[in-house]
Amino acid sequence: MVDEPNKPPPQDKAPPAEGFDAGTLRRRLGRISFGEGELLEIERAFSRWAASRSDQLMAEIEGLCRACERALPDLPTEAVADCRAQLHDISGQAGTLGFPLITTVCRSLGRFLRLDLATPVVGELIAIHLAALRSIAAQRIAGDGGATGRALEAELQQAIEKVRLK
Amino acid sequence: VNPKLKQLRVLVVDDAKAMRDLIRNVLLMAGVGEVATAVDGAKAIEIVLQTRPHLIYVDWEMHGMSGVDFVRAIRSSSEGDVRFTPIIMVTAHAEQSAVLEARQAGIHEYLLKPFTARSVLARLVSVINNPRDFVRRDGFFGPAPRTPAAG
Repeated sequence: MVDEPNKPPPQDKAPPAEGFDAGTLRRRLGRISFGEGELLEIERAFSRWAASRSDQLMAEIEGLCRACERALPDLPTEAVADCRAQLHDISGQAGTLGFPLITTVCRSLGRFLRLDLATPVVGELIAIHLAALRSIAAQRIAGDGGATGRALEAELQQAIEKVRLK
Repeated sequence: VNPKLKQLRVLVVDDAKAMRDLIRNVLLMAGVGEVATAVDGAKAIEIVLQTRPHLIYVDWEMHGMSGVDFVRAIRSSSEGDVRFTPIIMVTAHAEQSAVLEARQAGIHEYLLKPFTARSVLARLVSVINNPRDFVRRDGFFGPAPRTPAAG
């Protein structure tokens, strides 16, 4: 947005008292704050919940791998749409649940899981990504995975380059 | 946790169930009274018109209507004062151009993925504690840009 200096911005009509704007919320609720203890408690509760959710995440990864394998080698439209939806879901939650490496591999896989790329080479690239996802899930590699994570990422990159050069 | 938040009605819009659950759980743990969820922008607009949430978290990348299109739809609504509803954009897009696009659509806050319980609540606190007037200028309608603190 371009600001216009020296010219007060026109204010839109103020919302009525029962409005839903942030100013009304502020007047109604007053200043909101969380103590450090409260935040820690919420974080601990969230961590417990996330830990219990991670079992389901690993099951969803296996589901994605199977769906992708069924879609290969032809990558029919509906199957690709289904795989992409699963990929989107897994990629979004994995980072927040503490598995950013899964998000990284999912984003890379998303580049190849496309209708316009249905070739044997792409099939091979997809298979490489699925193997990486299964490996991360089996080892429950959290965070960046340290040395194991770096090695896995490097192996994935090397495999992608090797297939691309074919 | 926070009794004041008991009065708050929040809507979470995301086509990924896991993400909806993640944000919803954090808000409920923090004491938010009511957290509704919607699977897409169209359903979210229905819920907004029916229940008038006080605050909305919306994911950028959704099938059908994107998060940015949803923000534009809310900001251009002529239904009561729906257009003033505070909106927090949830996204993995960290690029400056994406932030600018979301700001130009009229969002209040930007929540970057992967998020933490703390960052989800920090955006909510920021919206409530630092309300901004709405401005209409050169086709833009949304909360006034933040001005740098004096001094």
